[in-house]
Amino acid sequence: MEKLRSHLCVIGLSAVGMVLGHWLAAHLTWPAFRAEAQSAPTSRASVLSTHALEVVGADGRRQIAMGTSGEGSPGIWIFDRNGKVRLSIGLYGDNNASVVLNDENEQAVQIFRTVGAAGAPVLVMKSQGRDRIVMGLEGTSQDPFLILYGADGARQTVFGRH
Amino acid sequence: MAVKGKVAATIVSVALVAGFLVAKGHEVNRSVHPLLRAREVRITGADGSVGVWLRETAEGGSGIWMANSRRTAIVEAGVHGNGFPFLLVSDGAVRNFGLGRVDGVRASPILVFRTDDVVRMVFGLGMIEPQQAPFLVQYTADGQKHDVIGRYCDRPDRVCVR
Repeated sequence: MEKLRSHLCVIGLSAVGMVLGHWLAAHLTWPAFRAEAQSAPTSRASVLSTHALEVVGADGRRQIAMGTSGEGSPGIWIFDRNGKVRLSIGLYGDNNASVVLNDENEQAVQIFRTVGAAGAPVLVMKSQGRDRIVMGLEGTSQDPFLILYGADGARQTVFGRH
Repeated sequence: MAVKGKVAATIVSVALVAGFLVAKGHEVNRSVHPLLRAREVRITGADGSVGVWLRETAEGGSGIWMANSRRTAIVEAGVHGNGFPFLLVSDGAVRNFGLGRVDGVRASPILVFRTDDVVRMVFGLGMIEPQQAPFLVQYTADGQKHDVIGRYCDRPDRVCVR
């Protein structure tokens, strides 16, 4: 009987210690994380979680960024040598997907995207910020369309409706 | 008392440390870094093959590259060293592809469709004239050009995009 009490006591004390250890771990923080992978060029992990990822060039300049946009949706941004976003891949706030190619002023030039609740695929080509070619599937009917716009904004429907 | 004071304190202490380390171990394993920075990122498959690759290119551009494990399909998006963005969807040998890119002094959006290393269709906004008129050209298997919409300069010396 005495032996059993002794064992139960050890188990109980161990449990108290473990609970205290877990509690302490939850309330004590490690030094802040800011992982720099340069020092471990071939580090491997099955899953690596981060809010943001940056790929930097040999000169330390940001080349690619992955993270969350201002709309709260995920995206990838690729930069040119001047630090301008020239290509972005991601989701809009309404969950539609997009791939956008920009000019040197970060103005969209070519946009592949889905539109609306039906997620209709659309391709837009722009010049100086104005739509010049819009083609894709129309949202409701999902029928194909191709619209051209002149430099003066004149609209020419090649086929379909948009 | 089945366990005396010193022994009890030792048991609690050991269990506390163990509990602390176990809890922290879990925390590290599931931690989400606020920011990760790297020169290069590779995501590997179960067989060790690289499925996704983010990096700076030799020409000073940067991009994201994705492939299936047998290297029969590739998706690549990035920015060339000259700042022009591109999006490529191709077979493993890049002989058959759809390519969205921006080119020329007016940053014209272009779509190119190629099969067996032969361009069969090009679509986009003009690269020479300031109006950047839309064009769509197609090529027969034997290389004959047909202007469907507008005109496209396809001189191999690329004089039209300078």
